[in-house]
Amino acid sequence: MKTGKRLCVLLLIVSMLLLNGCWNYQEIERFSMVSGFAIDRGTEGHKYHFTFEFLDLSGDNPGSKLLETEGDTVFDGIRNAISKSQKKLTFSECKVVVISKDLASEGITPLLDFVSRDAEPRLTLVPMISEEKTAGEILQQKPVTDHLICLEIDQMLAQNVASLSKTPRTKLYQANNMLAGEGTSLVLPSIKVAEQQTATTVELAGTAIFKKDKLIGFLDVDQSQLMLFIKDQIKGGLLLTSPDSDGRNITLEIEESRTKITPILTQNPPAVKIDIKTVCALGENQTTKKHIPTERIQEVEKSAKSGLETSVSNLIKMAQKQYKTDIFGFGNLIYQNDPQLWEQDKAKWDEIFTAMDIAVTADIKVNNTARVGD
Amino acid sequence: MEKKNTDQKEEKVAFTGRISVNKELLQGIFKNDETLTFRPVENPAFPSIGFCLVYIDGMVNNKLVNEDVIKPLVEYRPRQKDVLSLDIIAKQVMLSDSVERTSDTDKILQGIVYGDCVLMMDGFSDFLILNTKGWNSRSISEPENEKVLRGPREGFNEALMMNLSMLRRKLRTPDLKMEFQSFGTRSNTKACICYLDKVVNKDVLAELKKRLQTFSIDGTLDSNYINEFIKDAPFSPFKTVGSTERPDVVAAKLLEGRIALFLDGSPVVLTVPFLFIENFQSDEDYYLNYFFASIGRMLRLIAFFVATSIPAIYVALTTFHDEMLPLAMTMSISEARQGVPFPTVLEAVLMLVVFEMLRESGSRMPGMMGQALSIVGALVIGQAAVEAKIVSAPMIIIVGVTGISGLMIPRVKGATIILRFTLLAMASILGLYGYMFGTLGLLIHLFNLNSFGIPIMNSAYANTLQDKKDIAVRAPWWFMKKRPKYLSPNETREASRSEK
Repeated sequence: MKTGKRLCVLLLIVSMLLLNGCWNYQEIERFSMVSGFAIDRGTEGHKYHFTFEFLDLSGDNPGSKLLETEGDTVFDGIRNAISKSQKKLTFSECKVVVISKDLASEGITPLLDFVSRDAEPRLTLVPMISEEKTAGEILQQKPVTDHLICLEIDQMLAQNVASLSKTPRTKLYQANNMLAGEGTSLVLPSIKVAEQQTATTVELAGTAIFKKDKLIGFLDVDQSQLMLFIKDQIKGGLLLTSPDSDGRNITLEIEESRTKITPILTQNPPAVKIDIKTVCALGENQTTKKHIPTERIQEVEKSAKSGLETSVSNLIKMAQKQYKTDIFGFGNLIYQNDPQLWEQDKAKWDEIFTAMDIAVTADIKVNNTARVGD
Repeated sequence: MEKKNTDQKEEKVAFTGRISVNKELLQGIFKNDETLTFRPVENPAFPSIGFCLVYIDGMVNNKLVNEDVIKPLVEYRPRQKDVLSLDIIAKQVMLSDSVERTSDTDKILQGIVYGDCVLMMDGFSDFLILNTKGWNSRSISEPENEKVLRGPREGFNEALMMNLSMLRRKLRTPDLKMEFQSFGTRSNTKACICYLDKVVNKDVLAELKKRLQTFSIDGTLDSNYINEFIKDAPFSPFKTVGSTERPDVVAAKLLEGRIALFLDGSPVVLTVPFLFIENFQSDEDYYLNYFFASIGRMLRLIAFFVATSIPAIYVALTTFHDEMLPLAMTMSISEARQGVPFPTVLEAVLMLVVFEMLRESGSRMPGMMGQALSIVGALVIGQAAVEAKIVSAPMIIIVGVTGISGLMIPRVKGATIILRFTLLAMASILGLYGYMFGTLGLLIHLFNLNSFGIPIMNSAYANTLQDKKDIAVRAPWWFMKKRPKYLSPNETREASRSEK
């Protein structure tokens, strides 16, 4: 009997794994696999202009092709693509949605409804904001290593999170949570076209920040890194510091970083205490002092600590003064700790946020000095 | 049915004390059979008493007849001249190892057709049946389809008594019981039920004996004739009766509490009860190092899954759930399918049928043509079909993997093929949902199956380590302390390490 029950549970679990997905029979080669698409303002009387990048398998090697359509809604534009292509577009492998900045500044919620609602696109796709004039030109760039530009962007984002941490990788479900949740403003990765000597390519540009669902500005890559420090999303990356007055740098590679944010609810307006604990390895030393005894390490730690504290505080001040939007999620913290207080403050949170007292302390530990020791 | 029975018992003849009459009677019974031989013999000391030997040419060992029957009969010189009875002949004259005096017509006729010599004597209406059986049989050789790298290499042949002697040599104990029975109203084939009396499950034995009484058939040429009559679920593709051609396997099964059924004329011995896991057990598992044996066992279990499910899962994933495949895989499959005219399901069915044809032709054709088959199989059907865009390359891989795995588990071959196509059909209608339905049905069926009262999935109920010792992992011999669950009332196997 007991075994029977166990078996039932096991079967249920197995069937959960197997029973998700669509059920209609369709041959795999009858699809055009969309890797990503861009939404711009429409030109020919329609509201939106779309650029789809899809997988082209007609040649010997898989390649990329672009298809442009117009439509009054996202779904409308996608369906209109059928009149230009014999194959139906499928979105199960859609990795990114690039949105132009002028559409984003009018509100992003209507644009994300279709991809959140429809069964095909995954909730793990990444909405992005183009810093160029249009979003379509991002997709027109040539990828450097991949066949498709959207796959390249997706990989760039993943790699960035792991070893650079200078662009947030906000997935669709996280974006939806930020939009619908309490006390966190939406941040999305932003992208731009980078000029190189011989060709142009795409480059992750940092963070697009929102008030409600409207785009209000951008953070560059370094500011984005500081923001990720506050949001405790640092997985790797580098910290540069110059302990001496001559401005020569020491590069620290982040091995592990933890940020603890403690709200202080007794004050009015509530204050927040940020503790950053980072463990690094000394990766490069350009200073004149090649010899690194323990005292020197402490010196480096100290300078990196004060540098990080200052720049994080500056970023917070900028967010408070310039954008007046809580991209760090302090409001959410208050909501979690004291929902009643949050109910009172909710309506005028943006003003409270600008007046908040925020203390930043960093603790940086240099673990080792790599191959060149002592 | 009724008619046949009367047909059989038509002539219940009564033999008399006169040889000439008896000879006519026998000639009447064996009408038109010219192999029946009568050999009149006389002893010079008793010229008045006639003897006559009756046997079938080719079934007897002529040397035995000459040396042990005719010679002593002719050369016998009694001390007192007065009496010569059949009894004296049987006890003092005949050198044959088995002499039976009888007047039972059936027995006499059976004796004659089974290679015995029947001695008639004037003045006696009962005869002597002398064992002179001697026909040529195949020598003992390793069974072609149960070859092992390590382990005994003898296999059964078609002679029942020889087979029984092979078994007896493995299990030298009076506890080994052998009960004879015969099947086939016309073939009169001898069969033998073997078991170890102290180990066997008596319920299973009674059930087997009961089932053996329930059918009648004119001839049993192979043990499968009986298998299909006594099977628990006649319509199930799964076996509930095991079969083997190896004496060591039979001995091992007997030691675990099973019963073996030998049939004369067939090298294949049936064993009951038959558990599902036995499909994946090979005798070699027990002769090799247990780590290595366990790897083989697990591979066979995986092969069962692969051989039944991979085509179905492939079709489900590519035609229903393409989003579940990694992008790179979707790309390569989609690319390979460009220009292929058939839908994926049809492609799969086509290639699987072609594979089954290749396999079947491989096992049926004369040995010399193997090369031609492999060229046609590999080149024409594999490479050329892909290049001509009739099938896609991934499908060839799927079919290849499926086919090879199927060959790894020959004992469930039939069930595997049926399941493969059923699951494929269900997956092509409902995707993985259909596949799950199919496997659920399969599990329900398997858990419902019994073999002579023992659930064939009994190892699936295993709770203790002892019960799991011989499933995916073949435990070392010193750990095999118990027999498989329910198989034997005497659960403890005598294996143990001596503890000092």
